[in-house]
This record gives sequence, structure tokens and C-alpha cells, in this order.
Amino acid sequence: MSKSGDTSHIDFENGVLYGKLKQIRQQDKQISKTKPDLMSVWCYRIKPQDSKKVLAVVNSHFSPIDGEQLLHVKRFQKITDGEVKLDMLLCLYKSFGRDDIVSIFHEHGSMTIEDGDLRVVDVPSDSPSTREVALAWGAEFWPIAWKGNPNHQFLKKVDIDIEEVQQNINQLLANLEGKALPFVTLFDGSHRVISHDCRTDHPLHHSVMRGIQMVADQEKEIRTTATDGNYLLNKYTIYTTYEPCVMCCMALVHSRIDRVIYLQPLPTGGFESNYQLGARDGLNWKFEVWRWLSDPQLPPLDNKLNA
Amino acid sequence: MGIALYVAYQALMANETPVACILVKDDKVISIGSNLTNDSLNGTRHAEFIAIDSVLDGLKDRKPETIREEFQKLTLYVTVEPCIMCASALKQLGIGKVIFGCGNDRFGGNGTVLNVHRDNIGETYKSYGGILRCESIQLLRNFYIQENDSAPIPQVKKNKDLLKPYPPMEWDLYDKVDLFDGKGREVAPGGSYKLIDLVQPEDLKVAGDVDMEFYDYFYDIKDGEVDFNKAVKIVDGKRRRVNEE
Repeated sequence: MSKSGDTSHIDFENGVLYGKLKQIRQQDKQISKTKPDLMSVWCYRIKPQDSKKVLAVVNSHFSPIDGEQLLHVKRFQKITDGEVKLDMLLCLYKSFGRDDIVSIFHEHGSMTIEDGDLRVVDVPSDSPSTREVALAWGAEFWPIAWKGNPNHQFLKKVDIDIEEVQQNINQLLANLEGKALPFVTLFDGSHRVISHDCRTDHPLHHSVMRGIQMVADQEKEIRTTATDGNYLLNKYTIYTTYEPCVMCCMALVHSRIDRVIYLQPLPTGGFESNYQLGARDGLNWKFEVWRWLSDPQLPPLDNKLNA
Repeated sequence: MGIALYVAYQALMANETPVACILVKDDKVISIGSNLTNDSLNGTRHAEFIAIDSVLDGLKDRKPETIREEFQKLTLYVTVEPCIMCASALKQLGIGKVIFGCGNDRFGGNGTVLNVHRDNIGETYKSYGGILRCESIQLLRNFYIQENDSAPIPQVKKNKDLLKPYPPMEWDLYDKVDLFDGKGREVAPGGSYKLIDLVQPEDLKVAGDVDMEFYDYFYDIKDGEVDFNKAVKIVDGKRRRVNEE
């Protein structure tokens, strides 16, 4: 699959895998843009011979916090202004203060930062979609690490076993029978949980909210004997029959989920129908959201209903 | 809001994020909630949900219309603007009105990040902010200067300092109502006060025994600004945990 380099299962244009999973995301906001959104980043001007030492400090103290947000820009930029120097990006401006950075380098790299060597630069906050734009932004703002259309790269990297997805969806649908409302969610992670909607007992006990609590209860049980466990819904995929409501989508953001697959969109939903809460700039967690395209024959619902 | 603030203080002492709320009906506190995400291992156990659950526990008749009718009569006082999840939950229940302390920069669903309370999904509600705003922020800062051991990579705290300036509230983001004789929307606009002037120990009894140390965690307000000239208490989460063991 993705590892073998075969991309025949990917419809890059429409964001569809195996003809069955449609990627739910915000449209490429940068495609038509000539001006990128910018973010402020701390930049340290260093001597080339210090780069190893500086990189070691960055890798151990800054990258674990916001390294991912800097993957699309080059770390170093060569400055030839008489003496050759390197400008190096350290971390987001908002993550550390000047004093913090100075003391971290002092403490962990035995380096003293001169006042003029540490400054704030603005770099594009997202990858551009074409090589031409990447070059233009690189010239105007900061060099871009161009690795191809970022969404194409993402689609190639998605590691998903379509047979397993199909099996989980079959199991999900098998749990629909005899229920008043067709809302069922399967949580697939360190615990495996199937949850139903119980809004007749409690108006907010939607299947997603209940499942999150059931996973927490199981985790709590484990923690009575083990000290370490899984953090919330980290590394979980959930399968759910309808697009979850805004409350449930945000609950998944708070739970740090990895992947959501649902069968039917709903006008009240918080992914493709409203807000795109799985990949919204400004929120502190993003995850994969997919819609299953194969015909699942779910009953039509009242448009005002929240899943 | 003073009571909510006191409940948030109790959460801080219990090693939870200091966000708390009360639900009020006819000027009576009918339920109390504070954040319980760490202890429950459930990132959705926000203060609002705890308080909502306790109201529902007391309702024998769980018909949707009855629940809606009950929540229409309630006002939520919460120290921090409800997040997007809670904002949607309150909407689905049909809450009467929301009053909050400070805005929620990261997740706010009543104006800061999204306007869930007045979007076109279901019925809208009003939500007003700014009440005891600086005090709500002070409790949060007191919490965030500790490191959250529950997170997978506890973040290195960049500023172990409570003395950062308090940015002005961006009023245009939120629903508006003129409080305090139309002179402003924040408690004691332009004025000076100590927390104890606004919130008396007597008022806090509804949330349990009153711990007078509560008042030592807040700066005074002088001429509408936070006055840093007082030594305030700082919670020491690590030491407290060691003591408990």
C-alpha cells in the first residue's frame, strides 16, 4: 500500500481512497492565494560551526513542542553578508519568550546569545500547493521545504487497511438493529467499545459522548494496577453512522482522537456540514476525517436531529 | 460569579483546571460544577457537564419538552467562556442565558473562536462575558504555571510569572448588554476593589465550608487595572501531590 509506493488506490483530485473513503477537509485555502498567512517564529543567527550544537538544543527543547508546525519551511537560511552566517528557526514566537530561549541555550548549550542575534521573523504558516508559489514565497518570506502538493503527500502517507475498515463498518451496522435512533459508534483503539445513543435517559448522551465515557471507564480500571495507559483517545479510530453534532465533534477534539469515519452527513454535523472541526485552524488538535462512500442504506432522518 | 470563582478555586486545590460554574434558577443556586478532566481521564468532563448532569439527576420527568422547559429557566454562570462543545450542549438543552468571566482564546464557543450560541443550528441563546474576568484569569494562570503531568509530553512552561499584563477584553466578539448603570460591562469599570468587597464569605457557603485563603490568591483592582503590589499565593501542585502520598 502506501509503503510500497503504489498510489493506484488514491484519487488525488477528489481526495478519495479505494473509491470508498472520502477525505473531509477544508478546501485548499492557499491555492488561489498569492499572499500566505504568516506566523511569527524566533530566529537565531549563528556561526556555521555552531549549527550542530544549536540543533541539538532545538531538537531536545523546542521541536517536541512545535516542530510539526515548522516542517514545511527550511530550518536554515544562509546569510552571506561578509562573514557567512546561518539564520536558524527555533520555535514559534508564542511558545517561548526571549528570556526563556536565552536561558535554555545558556543552561543546555552553554551558549550566550547576543541581543542582536535573536529576532522574530514572519514565515508562511502553511505549505503552498504548487512549486511556483513555493519559490515565490521563499524569495519573499522564508525558504519553503517543497515536497510536492501537501495534500497529495498526506494522501500517500495515510496508512489505512481498507479491509479492516470494511469489517468494522459491518460490525457497526450489525449493531443498528432494534434501536430507536440509528446512532451507533465503534471505538477502535487500546479499548474496543460500541456505544449507542441514550438521549431518552439524558439529552446529551449521544453515542459519541457515551463512548468517550465508556473508554475512560475502562482506562480507569486499568490504571488501578498500571501507572501508565493511553492518553484519552490518542491512536483511536472511531466509526460512526452519522456525522456527529458540533458538541460531539468538539468532544473528539478535546479527546485527541486520530481518525473519524462516518457514513452519512447531517445538516447539524460539525465536520463537513459546519465548522470542519477536525481540521480547523486555531484549535489545538487536528485529525483525519473520512466519509464512507459505499452504500450503507441508513434510514433518512429529521434534518434538525443532532447525531 | 463569586460562587463560581470559589468553586474554581476548589478545583485548583484538587489539581484540576480551575474552571467552574453554577446553574441558577430564580436567584437560587441549583447545581455546581467544576472541571474534572484529569481525575476522570475524560477530556469532556468540563464544569458545565458536571452541573448539567446534577440538574438532570434531579428531574424525574425526562421528556425532552420538560427538560427544555426547565433549562429555559436557568442562567449559567461560568468563570470561562464555554468551549465549542459546551456551547453546543447548552444550546441543545435550551439554556436560558449564559454569563461568563473571561473569554476562552483557544476553544471559545460563545464568540471568541465560534458563535455556536447564535448559529443557525437550533435555537439561539444570549451569552454575556466579562464578569470577574481578571479573577478568572488569575486562577487559570495559577494553574498553568504548574506542569500538567497528565499530558503525554508535559510542556516546558515559558513564563513562570503571574505578572503578565491583562489584555483588554475584545467586547465586539460577544453579545452585548449594558451592566452597571450603562457605564461598562466589566465589574467595577474604572474603579477599585478587593475581591472580598464583591464576594463575601457568607455568599460562598452554598459551595461548602469557606476557606479564607481563597482571597489570598487574587490581586486587588486599582483604578480599573490589576494592582500587582500585593503578594498573592501560588499553588504548588507538585508539593501538594507529594504531601498527599
